[in-house]
Amino acid sequence: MLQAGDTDFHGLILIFLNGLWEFHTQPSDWQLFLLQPIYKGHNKDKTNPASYRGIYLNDTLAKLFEGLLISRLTIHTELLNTLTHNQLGTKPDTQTHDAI
Amino acid sequence: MKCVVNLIPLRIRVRSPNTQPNKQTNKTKKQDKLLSTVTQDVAHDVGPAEHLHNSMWDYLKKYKNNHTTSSLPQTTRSNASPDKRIWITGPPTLNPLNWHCFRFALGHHLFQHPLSPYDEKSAQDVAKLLPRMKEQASTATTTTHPLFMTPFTPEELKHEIKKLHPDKSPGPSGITN
Repeated sequence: MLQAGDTDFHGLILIFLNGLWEFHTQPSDWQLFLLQPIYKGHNKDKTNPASYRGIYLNDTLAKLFEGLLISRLTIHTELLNTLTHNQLGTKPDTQTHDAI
Repeated sequence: MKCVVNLIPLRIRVRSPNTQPNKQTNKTKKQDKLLSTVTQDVAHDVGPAEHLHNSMWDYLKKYKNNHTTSSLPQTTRSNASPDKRIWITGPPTLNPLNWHCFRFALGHHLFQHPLSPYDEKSAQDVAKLLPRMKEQASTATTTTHPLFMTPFTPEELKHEIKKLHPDKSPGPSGITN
């Protein structure tokens, strides 16, 4: 739905997200997640909650806002070089295999 | 400039006219069989043939009602431990709050607990440092970077929307990627 939207639709989303960014708030619904337990299998006890893996489904707009925040934070960390050299994951042009 | 063109002879397979009607008849036979089975199922599930004008919609509704039941078991094992921060599987009960009890036990930090799986000494050392760090943070003068003052641009938003993976399940709002 988001990718199929035109410039007007994206403009409305941008106004909404910039409002959140300016007033340092977020909707309370973004703190609620849908939890779906998925059975791990291998003949485990189906009545035991420990044999299920919980998967949280977050709101798509919240994920979009998180992506924008992460992009800003990565620019900041790259400019000021605040992260240590041991940090390889979630950094641009690096991967965890570089530690080997 | 020299241009070299390789002329490849085109090979067109022409089917004999006798094979086509046979295939068509086979197709129609299969379609008729499928249609007959579907109509029989609908008639069997929905009821008499008088209501067949809306039968497919009723069939879909019935299919949805029959197939949207949860696969989770009704009886779940309860927490047998007296301390709710530790999960010990108990007898199965009908209480739906067992899921929440398990979540509470799973997500609890167990700090300063005798059965804690973490290094308690180092955790206590860090806990001692916390008030100092809070004081330092309160007295320090911080200046916000202009990156965190400027609003998001449409190009940034478009770039982030492109990065979202398609065909993913939506969240509580129902908005898809």
